Amino acid sequence: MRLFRSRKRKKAPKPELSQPLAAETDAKQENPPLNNSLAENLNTLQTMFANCTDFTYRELKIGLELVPVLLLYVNGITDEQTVNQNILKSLVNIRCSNLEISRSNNLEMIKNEFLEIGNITEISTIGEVTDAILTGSVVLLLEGTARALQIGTKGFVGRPISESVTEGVVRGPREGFTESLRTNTALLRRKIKTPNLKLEKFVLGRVTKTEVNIAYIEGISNTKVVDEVKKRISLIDVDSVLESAYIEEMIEDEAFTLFPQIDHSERPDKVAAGILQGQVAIFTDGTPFVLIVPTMMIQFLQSSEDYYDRSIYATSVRLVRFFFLNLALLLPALYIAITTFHRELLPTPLLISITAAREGAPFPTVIEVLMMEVTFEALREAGIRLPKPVGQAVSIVGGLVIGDAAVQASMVSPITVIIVALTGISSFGIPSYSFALAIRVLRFGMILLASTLGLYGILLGLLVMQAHLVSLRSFGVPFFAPLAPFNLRDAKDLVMRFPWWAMGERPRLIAKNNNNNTQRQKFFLKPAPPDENEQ
Amino acid sequence: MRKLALILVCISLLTTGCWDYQEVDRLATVLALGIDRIPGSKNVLLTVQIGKPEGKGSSKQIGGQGGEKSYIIMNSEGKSLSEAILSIGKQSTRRVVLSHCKTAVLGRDLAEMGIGEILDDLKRARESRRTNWILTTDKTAKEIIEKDISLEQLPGRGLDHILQNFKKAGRVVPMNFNDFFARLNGESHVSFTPLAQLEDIDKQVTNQLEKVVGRSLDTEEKPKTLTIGKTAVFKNLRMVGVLNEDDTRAHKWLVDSPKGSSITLAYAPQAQTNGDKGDIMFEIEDGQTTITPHISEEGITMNIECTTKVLIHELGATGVNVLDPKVVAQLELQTAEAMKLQLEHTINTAQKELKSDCVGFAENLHNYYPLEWKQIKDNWDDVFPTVDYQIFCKVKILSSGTISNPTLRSEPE
Repeated sequence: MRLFRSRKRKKAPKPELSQPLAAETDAKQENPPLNNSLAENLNTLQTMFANCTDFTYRELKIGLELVPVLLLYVNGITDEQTVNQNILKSLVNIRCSNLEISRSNNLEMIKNEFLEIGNITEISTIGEVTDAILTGSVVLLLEGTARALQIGTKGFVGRPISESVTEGVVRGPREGFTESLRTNTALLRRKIKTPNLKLEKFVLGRVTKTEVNIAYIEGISNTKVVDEVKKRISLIDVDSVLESAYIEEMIEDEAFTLFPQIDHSERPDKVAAGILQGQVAIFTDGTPFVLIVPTMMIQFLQSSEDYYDRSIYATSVRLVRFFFLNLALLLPALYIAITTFHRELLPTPLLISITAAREGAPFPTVIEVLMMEVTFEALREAGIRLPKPVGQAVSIVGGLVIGDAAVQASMVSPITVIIVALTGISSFGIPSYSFALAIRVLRFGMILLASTLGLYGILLGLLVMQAHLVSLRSFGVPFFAPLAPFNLRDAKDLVMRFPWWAMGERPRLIAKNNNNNTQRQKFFLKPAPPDENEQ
Repeated sequence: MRKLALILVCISLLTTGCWDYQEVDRLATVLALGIDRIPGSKNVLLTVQIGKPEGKGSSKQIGGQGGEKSYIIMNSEGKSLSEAILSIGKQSTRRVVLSHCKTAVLGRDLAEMGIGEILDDLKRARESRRTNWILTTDKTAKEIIEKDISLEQLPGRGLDHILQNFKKAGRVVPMNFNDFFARLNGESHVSFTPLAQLEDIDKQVTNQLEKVVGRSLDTEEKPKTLTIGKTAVFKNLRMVGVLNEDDTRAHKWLVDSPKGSSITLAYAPQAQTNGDKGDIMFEIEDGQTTITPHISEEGITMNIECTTKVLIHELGATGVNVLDPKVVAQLELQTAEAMKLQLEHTINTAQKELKSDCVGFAENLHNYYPLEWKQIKDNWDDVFPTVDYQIFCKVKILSSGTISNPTLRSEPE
């Protein structure tokens, strides 16, 4: 791999972004403080929010002296009911009070005595005002005061918490994350009730200003990893972050690889489990998918249900998964290699029936397999993207075309259909969608290798793939751990899933921190019938 | 430098690979091949059995049951085996591959004329394996290859199955190329193969029944049946003779092991016990034969020790109380004697009739007395018939195979 590394280093680092992005030229102007005059401030803000129909302001005169007050907010992202009930009503009720323009503590008085809202902060610049308005707060400006009140009234009608779509379980919590960051962190906090669960805030995206939180447990997670995550995230300087994938691609260790090096999940229990074994979760506002770092490859082959089912069953399911992973990657390639190069490996009756099935097939086996594989990929894509009713129609037609018509018309041999179908089924046996994508792509590479070099080609491909896999790292943790480097103590959650009473330690490679204490629970928790003497 | 290394790595890895790309529907898979030679002619006559892929739609039928056969036979002629194989290409649209051919059958005439060239061809052929079976037949190999084996769609595989079964339990020692060559190249240059025959078993049975019934039986004429029960012995690349079925069985005890075989004891009751005559069959559960040579001044003596553990398989004689330890001990002795007689007969056949050491004396001499062997080696053919031997048989009956004494006495007439 050194061969390639030298090439990579030659690239000079790109110069810093010299020109500000077009969209942020306005925002980037120096941040002027608020003016004493209400009209002036309103003027400034109105020019800023020109052509923004959702920008709303409301002028009021409050108190006996009818002091002018301005409420500013963006319609739709504030909770209308709170604005009306708790802010407007309280302000209107300040009739009897003696609010004077000259007095400097009017703002404090409003804040302390009248507003029935919990989350209020004082701000003093135009920039802060716009930020506050855009994140769903109401800003209160008072005539004669160069400061403003930011009143937290965030109220966006989001999707309710519903069952996770991509990671279903038979047994286990059903709730899934939503698009709202606060809901998501709340779901996590409900599971881990300790002040040591830290949630640190970052704002990414010059234009989108997306809030990103990293979550970890102090004392369990490795501080080096946490620092590295913070460092990598703070280096991100982009205009937008619309999905956690934006972050994932900018913080992963190796950019040019098919394999995802960062796991993601929309299940709070999975994220909580990750955090509890020392991983760091990265929540991104606007998406239910939470990143979990550092990730080892084996996690892509584990499902959260493994930990809820009986351990022997979970172990056997994992074995099946490993088997199907290999099938998904290699089955078409093996079929091609064996039938076109290594017929000796087949039992004689099977060879003769394969020959019979291929009798009169117009294309070479490789072309046949590629045709069917591509058709299958197209069908799968259609099944995901198309609207549900149409998708069903497509899959029925596709199933008929693939399964029957193509064979009837002697376009492909029935064995190829079996192989492709089996491969398709096997690829669904991989729990992680993004990992399965890598296998999907590699499968085609394997097919080409098998068709030109036979089994030797497959071995060559596997060798290169394996070398690449063990060279990967995810936030300093070897991607292929605990298999390579092998760690017997971590192997209790590798192929086997030990029962919970035996999982005394957290994975050492992830959770090894300063105090080097990876003990998770009391040892020797194996249940047993009570001692007879004690009864 | 790095670029060069990269290029070299790529070239060395990617310019190699498997080269014999061939779609399966362009191949003719040979299942068994038979080799014959006519005395006086130089040419090899080759018969191959090729699996016939049934196309889509055609219903599969068991071979010979009125439907189409699932194999075809091709014949060719050539100066040598490889030439004959190549000349199949004249009639076959598909490349002939031997990698699935498990059995080679040698015709009697070929075997008696010498098999040196054929073996060389088979050894060199890339697709033919050292684990393939070798068979000899008493007539022509063509008949064996063309013969349907009942219940088998592909007779070539049927042959393979028969010989595979011999490995576990059987009276014949199956022979693969490797063992065959090893024995031929061994000290005595004597080897052997199972002998395949076509027998009219159906007719034999019918004839005997007809004799009893006194009229002709109303049965259909059945084709001959392929049987493998004898052994062909080769010496110096030529077939020199055949061991009959009883000798073949004892031969297996000597060169392989008695395990899986059986012994039949013709039981005759002694005076004091009353019972009937009859055959008792023993299944040999486990056993071992060791041959230890001794060279003394009188000459060479081979000590043959045969220990077996047997189960009573069938009690043909009545009145034998197999639950009585005394009776069992008696039976053990008698069985040992029967085994000894059979072994003696076989060794006699080898020494006197075939005059070839197919019982492995030479190997043992070579192993125990390497220096002396060097002197005997050259005239071993003359020495072998005169070699003295002693047989010690030991039989242990493991179990009576019953929990109650089963045999009822037949009423005196």
